[in-house]
Amino acid sequence: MEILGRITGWPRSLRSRMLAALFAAFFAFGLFPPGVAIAQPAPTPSASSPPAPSYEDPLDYAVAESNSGVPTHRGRFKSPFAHPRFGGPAEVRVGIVLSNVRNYDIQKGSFEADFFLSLTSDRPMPPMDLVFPNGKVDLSEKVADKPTFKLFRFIGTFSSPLDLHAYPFDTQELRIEVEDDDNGIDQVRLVPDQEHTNLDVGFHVPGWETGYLRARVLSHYFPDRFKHDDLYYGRYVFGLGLRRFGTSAVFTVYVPAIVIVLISLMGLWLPRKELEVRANSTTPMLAAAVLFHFALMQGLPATAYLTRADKLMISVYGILLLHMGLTWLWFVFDERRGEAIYKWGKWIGAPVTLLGLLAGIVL
Amino acid sequence: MRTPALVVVVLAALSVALLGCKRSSWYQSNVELTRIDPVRVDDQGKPLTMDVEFSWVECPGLQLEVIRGGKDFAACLSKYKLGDKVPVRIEKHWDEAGFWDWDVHEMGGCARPPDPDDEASFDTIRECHPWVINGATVGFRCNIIPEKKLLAACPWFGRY
Repeated sequence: MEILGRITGWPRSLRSRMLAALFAAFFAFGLFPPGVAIAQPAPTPSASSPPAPSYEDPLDYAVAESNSGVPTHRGRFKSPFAHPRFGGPAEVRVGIVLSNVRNYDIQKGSFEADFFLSLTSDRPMPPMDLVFPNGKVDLSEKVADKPTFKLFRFIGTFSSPLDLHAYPFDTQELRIEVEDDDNGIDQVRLVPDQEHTNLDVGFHVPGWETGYLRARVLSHYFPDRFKHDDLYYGRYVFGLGLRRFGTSAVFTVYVPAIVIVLISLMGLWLPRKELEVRANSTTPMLAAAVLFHFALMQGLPATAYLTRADKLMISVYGILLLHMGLTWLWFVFDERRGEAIYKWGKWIGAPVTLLGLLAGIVL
Repeated sequence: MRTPALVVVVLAALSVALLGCKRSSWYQSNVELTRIDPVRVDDQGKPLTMDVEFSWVECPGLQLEVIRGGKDFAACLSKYKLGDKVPVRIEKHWDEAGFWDWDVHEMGGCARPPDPDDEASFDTIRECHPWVINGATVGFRCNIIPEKKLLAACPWFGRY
């Protein structure tokens, strides 16, 4: 100020007014260089609004422990990433509108999803870094980004575990998992928003019937990456249940298997003099069954358990082996017993066939 | 002679049974109006198309539907306000896509002929329950395939 006075010769009051005007102009036109912080008065908290949260980096004020080297905080969570000064968690309601699901690959469990994700909170949210633990995002569009309301549109590829126990009457769950990579549950508490979780108008996945949708929040804990790694993180999990069409399952799996068995069963009514025809009605059916089963399994990933289709095919194999065995009995026993084998083969073979097939269908 | 006659009788019976299976059925219910929005208006500001959102109050759970109607429907429906409960006439019919569907043909005495090309009408028919793990509610699950209780009260929601 004194230097300015010596240079300009202006009186003190004028110098003060000129400096104030200069600062005002710089402030109004944003002419301060980056890094120059202007101290602004903090907004006065009113009775209705909660105190503004602190956005400082919790690592900066964590206190280093002499024995472990890991800075810690005092309070419920000792983790250096905990933020006790944030002032309690913001309750963030998570809504999703699924617009489209494409390219569902049952072999890999992968699919492409196009969806809107909304985050609405009762108090200002901290800056968030959303990550997708079970997929990757190809397009991320921020439609709205306000302290208490954020709306994103994402298109990405995700993958979900498969459950093929009930195949071909299986229901698969397509999951989208979202996690805030920056903030633990001491800053953000995710809550599934049922009212704002929907499927878009005309939503349809070709070849599948939409069975259910569900959403949950999982508070999870990392195995210790360092000492006092005790902070929990919230993960939002959205699941879309897709059920295979029952009619399609019956006609593509059950009908061919039943036809194979019935053709073989008819062979039991052929007497010994038609041995060649009888043998031809059974043995090729076994080959047909193996090829059919192989074709079915080609469309599915390997599993450690039997699917319903596997159980059906096992019963088909058993039935075809029984029919072959009833024909081979003619070569084992004396020719005089041929008629008895033929007669008992029919009366025992047919009910056992039907029971075996029923067991294969029901089990 | 007897065998061909029997075949004809069996085929006729099967045809009747198949045709009977796909026959439309009609139902009546009451709904509560939750949103009425004119979508397109003419030069005088009269609605040409109108969206009506309503809740199936006689069906268990929160079942919502939005239907779009033409200008006659919009003009007729203007006598109602939000929150009014009005009767609806529903047709359950077979859809060529391989499932049963339903259409609202009349609402509060206002005819609403469904347009087969209308893609704006939609429903959110689902039954939601809390998702509880270890005794704590962690989220929710909404079944889109109707449960027995819903179908007993509102059979037109059955798709298969």
